[in-house]
Amino acid sequence: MKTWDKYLLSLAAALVLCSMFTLLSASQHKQTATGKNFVASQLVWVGAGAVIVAAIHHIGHPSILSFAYLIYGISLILLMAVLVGGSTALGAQRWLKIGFITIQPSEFAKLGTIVMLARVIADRPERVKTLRGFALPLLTAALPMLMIFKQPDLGTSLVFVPVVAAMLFVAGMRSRYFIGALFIGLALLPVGWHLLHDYQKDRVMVFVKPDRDPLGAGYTINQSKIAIGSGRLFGKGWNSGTQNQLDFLPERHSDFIFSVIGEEWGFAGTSFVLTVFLLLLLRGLRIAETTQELSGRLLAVGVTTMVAAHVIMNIGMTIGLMPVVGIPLPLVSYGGSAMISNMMAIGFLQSVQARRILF
Amino acid sequence: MRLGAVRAAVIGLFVILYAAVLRLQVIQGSVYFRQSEQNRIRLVEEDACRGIIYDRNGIALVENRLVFDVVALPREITPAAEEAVFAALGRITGTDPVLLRDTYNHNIHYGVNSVLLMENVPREVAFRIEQAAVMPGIYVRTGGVRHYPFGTAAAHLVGYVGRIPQQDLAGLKQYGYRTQDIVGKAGLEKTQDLLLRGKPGGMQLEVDSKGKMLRVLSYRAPERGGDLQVTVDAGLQQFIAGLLKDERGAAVVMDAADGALFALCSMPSFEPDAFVDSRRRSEIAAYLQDAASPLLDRSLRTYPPGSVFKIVTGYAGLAEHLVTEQTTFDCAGSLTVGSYTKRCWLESGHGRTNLAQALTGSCNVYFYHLGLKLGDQIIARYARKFGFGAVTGVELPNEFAGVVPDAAWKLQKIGKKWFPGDSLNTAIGQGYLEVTPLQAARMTATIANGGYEVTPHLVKKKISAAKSKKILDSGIVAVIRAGMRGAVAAPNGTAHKAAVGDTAVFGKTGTAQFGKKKPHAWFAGFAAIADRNVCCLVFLEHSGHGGDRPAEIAREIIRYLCRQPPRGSVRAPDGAQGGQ
Repeated sequence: MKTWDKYLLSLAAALVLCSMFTLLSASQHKQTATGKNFVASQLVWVGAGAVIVAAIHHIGHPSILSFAYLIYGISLILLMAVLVGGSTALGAQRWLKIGFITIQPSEFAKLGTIVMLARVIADRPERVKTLRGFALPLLTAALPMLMIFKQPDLGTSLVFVPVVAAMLFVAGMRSRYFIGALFIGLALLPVGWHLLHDYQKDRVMVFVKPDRDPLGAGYTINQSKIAIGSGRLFGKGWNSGTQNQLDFLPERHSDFIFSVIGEEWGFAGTSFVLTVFLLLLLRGLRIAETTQELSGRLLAVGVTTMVAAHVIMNIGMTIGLMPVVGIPLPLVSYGGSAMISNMMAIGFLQSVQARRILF
Repeated sequence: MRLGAVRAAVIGLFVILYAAVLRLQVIQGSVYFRQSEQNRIRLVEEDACRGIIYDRNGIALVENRLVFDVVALPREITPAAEEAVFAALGRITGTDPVLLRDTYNHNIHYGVNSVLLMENVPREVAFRIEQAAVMPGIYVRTGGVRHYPFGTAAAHLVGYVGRIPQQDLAGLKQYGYRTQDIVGKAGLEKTQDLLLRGKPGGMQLEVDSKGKMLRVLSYRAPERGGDLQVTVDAGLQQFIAGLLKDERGAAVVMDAADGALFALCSMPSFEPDAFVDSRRRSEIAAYLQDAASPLLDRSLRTYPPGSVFKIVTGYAGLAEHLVTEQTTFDCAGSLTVGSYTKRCWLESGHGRTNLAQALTGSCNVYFYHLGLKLGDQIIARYARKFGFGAVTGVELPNEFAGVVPDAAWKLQKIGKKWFPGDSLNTAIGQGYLEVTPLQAARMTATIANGGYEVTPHLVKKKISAAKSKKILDSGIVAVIRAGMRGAVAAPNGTAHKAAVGDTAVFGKTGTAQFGKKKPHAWFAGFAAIADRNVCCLVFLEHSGHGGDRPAEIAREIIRYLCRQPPRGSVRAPDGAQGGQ
């Protein structure tokens, strides 16, 4: 009955393997400097993530959806806690210390919101066509999104936009509301610009003109492009990327891990990773498509869009197609909270896939 | 189904990602690869030592001195740290930090790795800079700077070096020259630069993102430049410089057999060391403004030769069979040709003289007669045969070719017809004729060696030319030599002041009118010294009679040569094919 989706899990496993392999090379310098073993930590989180996938699969997403309000509430409380007493790193308050572990509540709030939206929309499927039924999910998403934006974490808050849009769109929302919301969003852009921090504005400006400040805000993006481009067709080889090993690439173990793949494995490596991601996303959409039950389908669409938004924004940023907004590459970047939340996403897809014919 | 639209959007966005990655890595890959190499590789250049120039006895005419320069590597000096770095450097060196920073900012050129901040700092200062831990990007570079131990005595001969001028770089790049390179700018330093200059080396360093050196990728040791031995005798050169020190003129001492120069001296002179020391710039300005033009190499500039040229006229007369050695002309102190009268320098006249006697007493009238018979064409032809009107090809820059006038030349340059009077003037080395002291020495050497062509040179050629060409008739040369011997030995000889004990000295004086001042004075002669025919030429600007100071100086030179004849053997340089 509860069969494993071997295809989905293999794709996820392939990405995790890529992550381990690349981290071994990318974390060397930092490991000698800090004494911290990045690969070992990541392995622990991958293990924990695997347990969570199995747990979600066994518990089943219907049971989890029944706790949607609680999960959503806890997400908001954690985000509130970050704003009140979170720890600061790189100019942003994103982390929360609980005992000896540090978590990034925004990573979980995304999933909490997706679960909440799936529940809210699926409870009254016909209401989504009305203005009220459209506005309620929007507000549900806007609350955590604004709190994350306030941290500030522009990248993660932006991920909410395509996720909410895709879920409402698939739920059958009227096109005119969609278009209306789009225009309102565009009209609010200047306000949003005003709310941005200076360093965020810098990043956007640097994206528009990367050579404006090659040693300051433009440094990262230039070095990342040099790293990826210099990999050429087959790369410089594992452990042999000069941009990586000689410390020219900042944040190469986390947000810029794709640059390391590009440098050391060339176009062969980058196109492989892109292809695995594309297949994973298409699988997620396929699961949504073959699920008759609305909440499961919305859940699948939500997590798939979330992963897609991360992949596109992260890679787009490393190759200079998008401004630098610090978001990780799902399942590949170093980082516990992100690994766990992405594993949860895989768990939800697995659960929906396993139960699609029961309803 | 709305999911199809979501799927299409995802695929569409991924196609953009694929395309962007393909463009970055495959289409522009090599551009980024080069950038990544530039990121991690720094070049630290190391200058090569220039070769040494030795005289024939192995005495160094130029040396290299160890100096310490302070350089900055711009890549390692962040704008934020700049002020602190230069403040610290200013403290250690006792220099104004603002000045240092200005120098630094002025000299950062794109693509140049290091910036020269201070040249030639004292050893203690260099040591303190190397010890200071707080100045990233500031280094001490050791290098050689030229030193010219003979100073003014051999200045024109050896020359000096300097930084390559930016405007000259374009033409020199193909020979491997770079900005800020040191090149020879005058004398042998200039003409032998390809041999003397070494090949710069350097290190390729791998650095990390902070510019910290990680390892040496490759190292190429600089190649020392080739050494050069020249035919000059440093002791003789210095002795002659002493004799000439209060004069304006030049002296040439040459092996008459092959044209090897034992000494080549021009005065007034300059200190070549002033040109390699940036702190002595004011001296260079003083040289340039000096009315005596100390930078001029007078041995290579042109002057009217005066009676020294009678050697050519006399030779031509015999060779063209217009006169024999017995033919005489009567000198009554002047000669009237048509409507004008030309004087001999001896108002009482020389009486009846043949060629040898005319050379001994430097009789003008004899040569006026000869000039009339020869005419412009023939005189010019013989002048060229003796090497006038063309550079000798000695290994020194800026040599003048001089002027051998004839009717065509006069018409073209002056726009006037050639008169018989012009032939008379040319016959006694006046008028439009212009020769260099080195050319006059070459003429003398040809007489001294019995008529063989010589090529004045400082550097021995690797491939020695076949036996030198005989260009003159021995019989006629013997007549000329008799006249020159008389000039020194006979009681009425004009060059008797050049006589040296029992050494047979041959000579011819010249006293050339030029402008309103005292005439230019020449002595051209030779003597057999230690089985060698050594030719000696002295030229003094506006000094008076050639038989006075020039003959006296020549006598002192010949005495010196008798005491210390040139010894030592000269090798051809290894690197280049000698010469230019």
